[in-house]
Amino acid sequence: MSKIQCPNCDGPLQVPLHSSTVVCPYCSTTVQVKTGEILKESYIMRVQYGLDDAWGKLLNWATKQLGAPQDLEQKSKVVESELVYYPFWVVEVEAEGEYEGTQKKPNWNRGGRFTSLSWESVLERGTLDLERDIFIPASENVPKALLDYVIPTKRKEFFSKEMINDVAGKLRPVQVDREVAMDSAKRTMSLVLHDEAMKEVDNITRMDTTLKVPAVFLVYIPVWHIKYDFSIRKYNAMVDGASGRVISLKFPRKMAFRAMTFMGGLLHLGVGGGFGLLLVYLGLTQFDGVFPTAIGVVFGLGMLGIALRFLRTAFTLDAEEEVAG
Amino acid sequence: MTTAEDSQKLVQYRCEVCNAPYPLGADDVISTCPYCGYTFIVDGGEMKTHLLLNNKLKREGVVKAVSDWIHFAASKSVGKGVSKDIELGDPVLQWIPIFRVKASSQTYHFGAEQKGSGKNKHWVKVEGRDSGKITEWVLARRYAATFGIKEFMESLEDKDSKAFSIDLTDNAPVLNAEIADTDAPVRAKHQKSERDRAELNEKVEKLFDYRLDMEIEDCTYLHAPYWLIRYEYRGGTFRVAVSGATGKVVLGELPVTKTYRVKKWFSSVFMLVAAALLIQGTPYITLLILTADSSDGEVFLIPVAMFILGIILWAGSIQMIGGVLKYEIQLTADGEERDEGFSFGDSLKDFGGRFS
Repeated sequence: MSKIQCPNCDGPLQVPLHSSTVVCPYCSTTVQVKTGEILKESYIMRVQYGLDDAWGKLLNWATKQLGAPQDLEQKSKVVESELVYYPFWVVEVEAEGEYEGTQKKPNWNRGGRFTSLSWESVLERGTLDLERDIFIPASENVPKALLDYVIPTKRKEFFSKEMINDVAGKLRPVQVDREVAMDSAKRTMSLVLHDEAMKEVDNITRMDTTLKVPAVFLVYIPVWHIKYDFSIRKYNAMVDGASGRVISLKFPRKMAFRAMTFMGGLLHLGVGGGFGLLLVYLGLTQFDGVFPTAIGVVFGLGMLGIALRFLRTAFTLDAEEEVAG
Repeated sequence: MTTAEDSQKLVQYRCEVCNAPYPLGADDVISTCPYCGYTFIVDGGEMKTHLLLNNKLKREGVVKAVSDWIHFAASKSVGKGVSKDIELGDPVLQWIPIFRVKASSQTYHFGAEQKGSGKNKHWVKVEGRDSGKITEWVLARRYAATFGIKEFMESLEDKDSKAFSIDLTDNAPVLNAEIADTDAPVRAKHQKSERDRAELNEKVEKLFDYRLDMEIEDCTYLHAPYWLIRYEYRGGTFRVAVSGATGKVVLGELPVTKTYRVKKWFSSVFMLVAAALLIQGTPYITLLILTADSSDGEVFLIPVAMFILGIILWAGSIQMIGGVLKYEIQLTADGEERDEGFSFGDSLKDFGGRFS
């Protein structure tokens, strides 16, 4: 741990290892460790959903899941909960690109009609113009579910330590530099440009891109980590504290439902698969070896596929991401 | 981007016209006062032209439209019985911020298509130019996270617009814009080219080029009425979105019932059996052709086609069974199932495209 001085209030700041920014405990200023400069564009999302509200949203979503018990609401309770603020760099990238590439096109010059096309390579040029906001996680241990989640930042407010203290939130350290985040956002944008150009040509031979970053900001996203129990097992869930959306959720499925789905899977496997095997056997021993072996193989494999889908549903406890709040 | 000092002040914003305080989101670019309707650009002055699309529906109208839709859509998919057990909630109205972009556009596309069959099969060049006046609707929010918003935007029509007035909003929340009017034309162009490409790819077997030139003539800010209603069915909550501008349902959820599951199961097994029979037939047909000693090579396309068809049906059958294991389905205004549904035609085209 090293020490620096706050450029705003001169207070002494402790810098934890591998942190690229640090928040002054006295005046809430965000300081960039490397340069010692103040990071003005530091925001936070206000927690609009307290634990009770988040829990309510979670239950609402969980009871909508296939095979979830009807009495989930009455019988489950929160065992552990934690409010964690995850920092993200939001990088606005403007990209202009000029590409040159080749595309295989049919050669129509011979005139008339063709039973098959003869192809020729044609040189093509074009320009692209794109703009995106790219989210780069600023902390190392960001849960996977959060990376795929469309993070709302529309009501962001200026960072203040009090806001976090009010809700007893835990702050994850910022470990990724602003510049590193910008570079990584630019790389992402280059890939996007590349994909756009590939819609027009089959092969890119030259690509000139100009990437501009008109705005970068840091934003802390409040996420409720909730552990709850139902009968004997415990389940984990994540709820966005700002929008109340369920980010990820494990939920109990009724034993009866799981047993039924499991039986369904076994039935398909046993009866369907068995029938398939029987046909294969008959084909190989009683007939010419082809009929009805092929039917047996196709039908049996299909039943196996269907059975696997049933079994997967019986065993998995993951819910899909909530689509809209 | 507003500078730091600016937006800090704006968090406790007071309306310039009526002095009422109201919260302003930090991402808001164009804001409307909920009390007097004064609309302004956050960094600039008043938004001079601001329209709204007339709200055709009152609460009772929404409830009726939704009940009718559920009845109609349910009988098409999950079975009529559902509508008996439904308890409709209160409809909620919101005004969605939208840019109406008018432009004269020129498109050009170039592709190839296969025509005829058997010996007569040949490729035809498909080339087209299109020019005209278009109206493109651009959502002025950063995230399209509202239920059915895509369908809602697609259903909008350019009529019945009026000058915005807070008295016409029925006391419903008016959402602020999060993208600037200068960004709207870019988004409009992107939106149109994506949609056109998708459409052309449906129509034309191979699409080589697509170009779009748009000359923006007008970009107007407006609000459109969006209704959402929730209903309960046996302990579960489902949603239906209704457009106040057209008075019609845009997208809705229906609970998956036993009827639906049984239907899906039977079609799945039926497809599997058909796949098995087709693939079984393949070696015999091939043998038949070989013994007939036909000189025409194209006759071999028959067993190949049968085999491919068999594979598609097989995959479709496995996908179809997913319908049995669902909790809810999403249906459009016409009662068509949205996404995930297995479309025979599409898969066939997909497959055919890869082989030719």
